[in-house]
Amino acid sequence: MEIVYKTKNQVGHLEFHGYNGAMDLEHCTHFLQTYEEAAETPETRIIVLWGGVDFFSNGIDLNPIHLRYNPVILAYKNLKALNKIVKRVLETKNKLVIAALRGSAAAGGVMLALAADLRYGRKGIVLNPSYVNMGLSGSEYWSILLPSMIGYGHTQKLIYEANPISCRKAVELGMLHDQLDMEQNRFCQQVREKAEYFARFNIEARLAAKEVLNKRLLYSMEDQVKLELQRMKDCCNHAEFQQARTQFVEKGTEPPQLFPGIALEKDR
Amino acid sequence: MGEHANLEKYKNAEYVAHLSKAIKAVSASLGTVKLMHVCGTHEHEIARHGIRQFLPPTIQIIPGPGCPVCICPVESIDQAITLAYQPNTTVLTFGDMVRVPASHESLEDARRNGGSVKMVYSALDAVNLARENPNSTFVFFSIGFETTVVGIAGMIKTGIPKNLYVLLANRYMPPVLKLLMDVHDESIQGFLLAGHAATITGLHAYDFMEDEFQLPCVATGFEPVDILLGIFECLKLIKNKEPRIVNAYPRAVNEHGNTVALQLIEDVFERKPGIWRGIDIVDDSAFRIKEEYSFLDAEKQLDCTPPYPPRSHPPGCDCHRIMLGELLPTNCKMFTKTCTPSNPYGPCMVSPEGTCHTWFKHGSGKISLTHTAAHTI
Repeated sequence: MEIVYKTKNQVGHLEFHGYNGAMDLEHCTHFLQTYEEAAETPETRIIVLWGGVDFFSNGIDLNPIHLRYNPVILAYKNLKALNKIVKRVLETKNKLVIAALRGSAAAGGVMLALAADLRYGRKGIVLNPSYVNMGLSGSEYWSILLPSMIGYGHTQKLIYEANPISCRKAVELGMLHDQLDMEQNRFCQQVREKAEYFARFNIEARLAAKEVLNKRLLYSMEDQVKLELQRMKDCCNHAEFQQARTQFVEKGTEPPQLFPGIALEKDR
Repeated sequence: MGEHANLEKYKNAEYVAHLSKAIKAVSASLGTVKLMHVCGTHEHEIARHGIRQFLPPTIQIIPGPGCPVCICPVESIDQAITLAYQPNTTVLTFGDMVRVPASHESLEDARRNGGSVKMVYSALDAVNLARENPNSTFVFFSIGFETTVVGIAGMIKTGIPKNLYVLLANRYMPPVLKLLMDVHDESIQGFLLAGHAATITGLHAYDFMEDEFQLPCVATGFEPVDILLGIFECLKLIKNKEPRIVNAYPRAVNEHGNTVALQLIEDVFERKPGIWRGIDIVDDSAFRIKEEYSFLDAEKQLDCTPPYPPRSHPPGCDCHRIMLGELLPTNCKMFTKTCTPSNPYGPCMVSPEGTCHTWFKHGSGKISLTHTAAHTI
């Protein structure tokens, strides 16, 4: 994974390009280190998470996991590493974090975006927040983030039906805050302008508001996250994960969805 | 007789009661504490003597991957089976290993199907058999931890017959503790180290636990008083927030270990990443025969590649999770039903040091006080 961090006009820009949007254990460690450095840079007040061009992020990397002697151990390590990133982003107090989804995202990658304070999607991208198609219950704070942002009922539908949703649908639900231009350069320009504006005007007030709002979100999340990890470990040990992983890695396809296309509506 | 009499005090009911009280007192303010031991003999003795009943319910003693037979990689057993089928070749190994299921069969099955497999009690037996039968090829299939590997090193150093080879599947315990910390999300608060292994390695092999994890580890013996003392010391360290490596088995262990034995090991072996059956490949945890002695290395000198791919556990078997301390035998659907010592499905049910075998025979250790007092303490 190529991880690039640059700063300009009080805004830190963190790009992370992974093959097929996957983040393996090493990438997660590298990402976290880079993010820590970005969070500690005093001259920036905003961090923009750009992900990659084709994919924002698709969460843990199933390929090395599948090749490992005991895939469960590496899968669990990988998802804990991604958990750490999401936690660190959620707990960033001194910066406003923006997720700029130039590409699609899935599973832990969606949760990484949801950990940001503001989330913008490029028109045409697709979000696949459910882990169920991969035989997993989910981690990366999904059970805190999703219901807080889109409500319990919508979370149920997204997770249990496990269908992808369009950028527009994600905005409607409240997962994303805006759908911006479809053209890559214009999308990036629009995000940069927003970020620089927020950094220039009343950033202290925005950060103070963030602190108040996030206090509620982050209140007693430890037990919930522990449960997520426990269930995730059970799922990792289950044959469903092995079958789904084999299908994905060896055949290059995801398991069939029950009602493909129902939730994925055409962008307007 | 004298030594036996000496050991009696380590089974003394009064000492046990005293230590039990001390453990309750020291753990009163600690909440739930999860300690792990990494020795099959510890679990056997804990269950046999009903040690858990002397602990407050908040103190959990979790069995880890301490049974050498259970963690022996199926790949190595498959190699041994392959050798057993070769003409004029006999595989020699310890009794427990013979019944452990491998990818398609056990060594016992192989013997039944025409392979040549014999049980031995020590490496010396293997040497004697090879000397007595100079026209046959023998392969000593060696398993075990630090304690066993010393004997093999000694055997190799003193010279072995040309018709005897070694198939080495010995493992080194310390690196696995890191893996266990990760698997358990660092929820383990202390380790009881195997006293006999510590007699060889000493305490410093575990310094990384103090430096990296700030976790107490206690070298612990095997009699009821030894085990309770180890637990007490560990709890005391936790309470005082002293993440040190401590020796609670001083009659056998010294800080620096057995330097002669360590030198022997270093002379003959080096370490490499090794498979722990069903668990993972753990860096630096397997012994390999040094190039200097490669003439007796069965992997290098004989054709021991099985004609099939390995299968670490049969479907539905939870042995690897039991070895990791993630599940207890009673969590496994097959335990005592389709998996018993007379008909083992997974490796943990084969060896008397396997957690499942131990729990099948003795229960989890919560046997009645009357029974314990009358029969063991």
